[in-house]
Amino acid sequence: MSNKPNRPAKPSRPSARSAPSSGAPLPPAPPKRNLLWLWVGLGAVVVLALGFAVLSSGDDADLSVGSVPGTDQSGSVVTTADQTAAPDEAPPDEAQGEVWPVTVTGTGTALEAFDSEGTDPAIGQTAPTLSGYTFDGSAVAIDPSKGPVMLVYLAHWCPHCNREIPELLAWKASGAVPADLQVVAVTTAVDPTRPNYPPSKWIVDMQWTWPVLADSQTQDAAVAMGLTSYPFVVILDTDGKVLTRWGGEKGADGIQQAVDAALA
Amino acid sequence: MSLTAAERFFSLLALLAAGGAVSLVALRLVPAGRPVLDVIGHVAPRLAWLVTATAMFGSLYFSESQKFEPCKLCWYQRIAMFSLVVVLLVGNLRRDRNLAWYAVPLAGIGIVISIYHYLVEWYPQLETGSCSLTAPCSAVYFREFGFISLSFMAMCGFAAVLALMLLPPKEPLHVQQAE
Repeated sequence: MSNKPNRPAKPSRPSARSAPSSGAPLPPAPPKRNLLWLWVGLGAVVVLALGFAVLSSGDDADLSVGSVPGTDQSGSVVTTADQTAAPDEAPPDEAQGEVWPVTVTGTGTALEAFDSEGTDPAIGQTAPTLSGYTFDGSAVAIDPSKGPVMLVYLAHWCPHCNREIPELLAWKASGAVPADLQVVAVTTAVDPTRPNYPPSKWIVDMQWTWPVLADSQTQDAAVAMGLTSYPFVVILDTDGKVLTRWGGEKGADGIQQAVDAALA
Repeated sequence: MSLTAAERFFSLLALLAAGGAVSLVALRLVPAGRPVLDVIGHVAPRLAWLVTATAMFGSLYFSESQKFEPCKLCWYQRIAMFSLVVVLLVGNLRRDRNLAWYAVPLAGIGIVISIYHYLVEWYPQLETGSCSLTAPCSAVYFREFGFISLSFMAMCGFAAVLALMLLPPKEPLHVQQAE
């Protein structure tokens, strides 16, 4: 068996130069089926599509970085290990941003990256303290001393986060949320090229009612808590120690069970 | 060209490919479509290569120029699509009448992965319960016109290749004319 493809023998093309010398008449030309129209038509459709796309598309969204006096104007994170978190209480007028500087303080370092397999080594560890801003530049400080804290990390483009938010809201509507539990959303992994940007509008559209901390461009709030997937939840006790962490969807019932178990 | 314009442009090309694939199937079902299929059959392998080359260019544009990180399922589709570019190119150059035997399995595998990926995008619970940090398969970068994502584009490309390569093989026109 030959590996050669079934290729027709190379045709001997009639040569206009050789015809007169041989004296033989030229063979009748086969009916020509010109497919130029096909390629021209295809090219025209592509050009039309290109023109339509360019003319009908809007401008690309840029990442809106919030900045306050005294912080890096590029929006990169200001991380301090030895100062008390105290972002400016008075945001500048017209402050607006989808990512804001986050201050990570406290004696503890960033928690170990979360792994759903096995026992979470971060449980019982003192978590770093986070402070920063919400989308309009208002200061947000996470203070466990006022009551247990539940940080809910959400990415605007993540379908699982979009599915979990209604479950969290249903859990809230059920009245099962402990009165002293402070629930705070942390919008992270902000990407202007992905769906549901900007997160400031998305979180409103999702009818989120708890406070929101806008994570920094380099996701320092997420890194501090060892986030490894979205959505991601961390519950801290009043001493700032980790009670539980989990990643992924749980549904309203699962959330209630996890919170009840953590706070028991 | 802006990113949004590129998304729209490649989405329109995907619709063109999908429309072409559907038309080819429809033409096979009606006797009146035979003359058109006869004509298209002569250039089907070249059109198929054009489809895959365009898909590869688009894929590389989004990943390398726009930094869209491909997910695991995207990579599987890329393996099929990028291989098709080479297979179809070599097959066209060699005028291999058995080209469909190589191209159809690759396109078939590719379209199955694309369909699954598209379903995962709409029903993320099919895969896992969370988004990974880097490139979750369930997360889309865009949905042009509300439904065209990158996996949908790949699906259209594979469908077009299948529709073209499953046409009865014919000699390229210039060979036939010379004979």
